[in-house]
Amino acid sequence: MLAKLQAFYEKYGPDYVKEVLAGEHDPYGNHISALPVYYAIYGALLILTVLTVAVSYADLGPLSLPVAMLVAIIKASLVVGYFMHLKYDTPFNVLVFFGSLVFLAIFFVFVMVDLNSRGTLVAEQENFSIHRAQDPAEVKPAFVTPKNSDHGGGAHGDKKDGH
Amino acid sequence: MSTSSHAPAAHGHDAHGHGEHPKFLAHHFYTPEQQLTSAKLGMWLFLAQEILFFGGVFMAYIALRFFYPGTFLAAHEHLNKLAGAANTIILLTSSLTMALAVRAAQVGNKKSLINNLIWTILFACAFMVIKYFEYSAKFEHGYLPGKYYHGHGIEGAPHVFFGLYFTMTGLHGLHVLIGIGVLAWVLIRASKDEFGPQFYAPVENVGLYWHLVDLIWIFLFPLLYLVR
Repeated sequence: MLAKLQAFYEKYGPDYVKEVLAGEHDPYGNHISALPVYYAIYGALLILTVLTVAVSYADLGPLSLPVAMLVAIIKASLVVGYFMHLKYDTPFNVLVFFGSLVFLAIFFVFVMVDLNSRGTLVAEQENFSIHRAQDPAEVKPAFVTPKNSDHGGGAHGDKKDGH
Repeated sequence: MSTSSHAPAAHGHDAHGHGEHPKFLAHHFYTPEQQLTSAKLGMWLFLAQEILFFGGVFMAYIALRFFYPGTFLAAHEHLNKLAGAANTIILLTSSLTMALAVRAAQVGNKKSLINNLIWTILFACAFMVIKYFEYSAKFEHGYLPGKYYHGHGIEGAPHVFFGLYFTMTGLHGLHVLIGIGVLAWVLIRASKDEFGPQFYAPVENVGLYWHLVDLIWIFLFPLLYLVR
């Protein structure tokens, strides 16, 4: 039994995994991934899909969105790295890909900062106008949240408490 | 002699004077390797543009969910989770067959290349069929975008949610349809025996595009169907 296990380990152990992951090169210098790598990645993607659905039914509270996104990012990395072959691609293509992600992050961060802070700005603007106009009825808010927004005040929900 | 560059290289008279020129090698490239790396760089630049393009829609999702958290939670219950999950598995499987098709081209296995391309196209069609049934159900219940919304029983601002739903899944579905088109084009060229270990850039690039379509869905599925 132990001998069998040892034989199995020697055949399919870390060295085997390393060799399979490394793949091979054809005479023209192109990298070719081994078939088991594709099947293993596919299996991992299926398991992670089941995990995503399971997480949505488990009551994780505020953690559910970050966990779902983490699983999605792991799945995306597997697809990009192995199916799209970026792990074995030229560094310049890797740069192009991650470059697009950097600019995406800049876009997301700036818009989210704006969404979070424009309420404060609008409130300040209104205070300023009230002092100048002496007549609150004349004040028109610079930014109006959609009428039937779920939490009334939207980005500047705390403004009303401040007055 | 300005048009002579279009003549097939096989006629033995090479105007460039740098030896033999394989049929698949365009005249503005020195080597097949240079041609492949250039083609792939171009594809990755296009994919970067696609990521930024979809980024705009995902930003719209973040902003609208920020404004209407209750609506998103209530309205997503009316999406078919089973159909969404089935489509996820279908797209993942089609990604696998696409990767196997590229590998088949690399090792020069024409039969496997054609089979895997056909499977990929079939899975893509299956995705669109499920999408069709999902859309029909939404139309039937009046769950339409913006002013066309006339459904009942969802609190908040469901017209906003369904506007976003149709924009996101519609743009993605359009990419799937285009994918079916380019996959068919590659399949026809493959059946004419045009691809092999020395030349498979079109297969590889269509593959990269197809994996990106899968990638977008990996994020769309939990964000739209599994809101918590």
